[in-house]
Amino acid sequence: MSRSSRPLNRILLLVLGIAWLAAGAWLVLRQALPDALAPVQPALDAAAALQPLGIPLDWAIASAAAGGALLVLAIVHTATRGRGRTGDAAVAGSVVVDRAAVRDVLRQELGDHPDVLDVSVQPWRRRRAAAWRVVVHTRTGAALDRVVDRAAEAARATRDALGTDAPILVHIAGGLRAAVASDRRAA
Amino acid sequence: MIETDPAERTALPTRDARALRRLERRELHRSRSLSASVALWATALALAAPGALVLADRAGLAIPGVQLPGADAVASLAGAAGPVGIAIGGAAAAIGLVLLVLALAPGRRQRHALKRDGIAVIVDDRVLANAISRTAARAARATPDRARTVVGRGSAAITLRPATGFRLDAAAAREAGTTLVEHLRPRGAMRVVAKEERA
Repeated sequence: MSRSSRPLNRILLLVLGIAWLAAGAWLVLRQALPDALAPVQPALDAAAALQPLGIPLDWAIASAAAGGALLVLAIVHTATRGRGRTGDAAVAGSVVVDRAAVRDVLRQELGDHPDVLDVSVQPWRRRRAAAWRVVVHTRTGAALDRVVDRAAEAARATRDALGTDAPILVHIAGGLRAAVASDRRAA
Repeated sequence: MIETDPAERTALPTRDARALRRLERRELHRSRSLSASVALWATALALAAPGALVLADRAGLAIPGVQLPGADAVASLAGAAGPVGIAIGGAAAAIGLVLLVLALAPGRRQRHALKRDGIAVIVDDRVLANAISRTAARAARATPDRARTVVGRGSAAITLRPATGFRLDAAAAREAGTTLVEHLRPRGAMRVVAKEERA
């Protein structure tokens, strides 16, 4: 979970996809079916002959410059992904509550449940409000209804105990930890 | 410590409800950050490389020990006739199609959202399937490894595999699975079906 804009990623993929598809289709058509390009050929020729600066366009410089600009965009895009994660779960004036403290309170509220293997808390910050993502790792084949109710109740109790109004997402996960945990049952 | 009245807690303002729905949606769908980044880098390099090579050739730049393709090589590749040109165009079109699919596909993760007051709850489909299997097997009076469940978007299909010479109660398994799903309260309907597998 992060602050990254999901619609922006989609729009980028859409625009780049159309550009690649159009360039590819043009290359193929030019070789395989030159006649099919006849209706758009005047427009392409006009674009190629364009002289926006009064001098003939140098394609090497143009492509290097466009590529360079896209490269800068790519660097910015890559560097700004996944921001917003923080270790501070709640801030009230000069008092900061660490995520480890929240996890400890949550564990306390959750109590000792045989189906719960581990709990972790990842707060993140968007605009000024913080939100928490709580991951509850459960044992394979857990009594899920009870685990879910208990985890939701514990999360609410933790939020109340700390006096914040952070939106909380509880993720009930299995994963590797569930796969390697030993069964707890009476022989 | 701030004590909160339980009645106050359930009556959440709509802003919070919206924020929770947003969290839920983001967790139910895959992020396309990585693919968007890779696509940007690939496009930037594909655009910059030929131009840079031609410019380097013109300026007489050379890297010792490396034979860079010159302006002629780039020009012949760009204007390549026949199969080479078609192959390059086809590859570019294929990349475009992949990017379009990534942009337009729903990108759902194998997770379900559960309805709970004031909290967004997400559960992995695997975990859900395991829990349904365990409950169904118990109801059908079988060992846990005799039941297998496949959880889809709006359904959970339980398959019971009886030991040779025994019958298992599929109706009881279905009922137990349905009861568990009702207690879990998933967002959107989830139909539970159970069948006995015949060897």
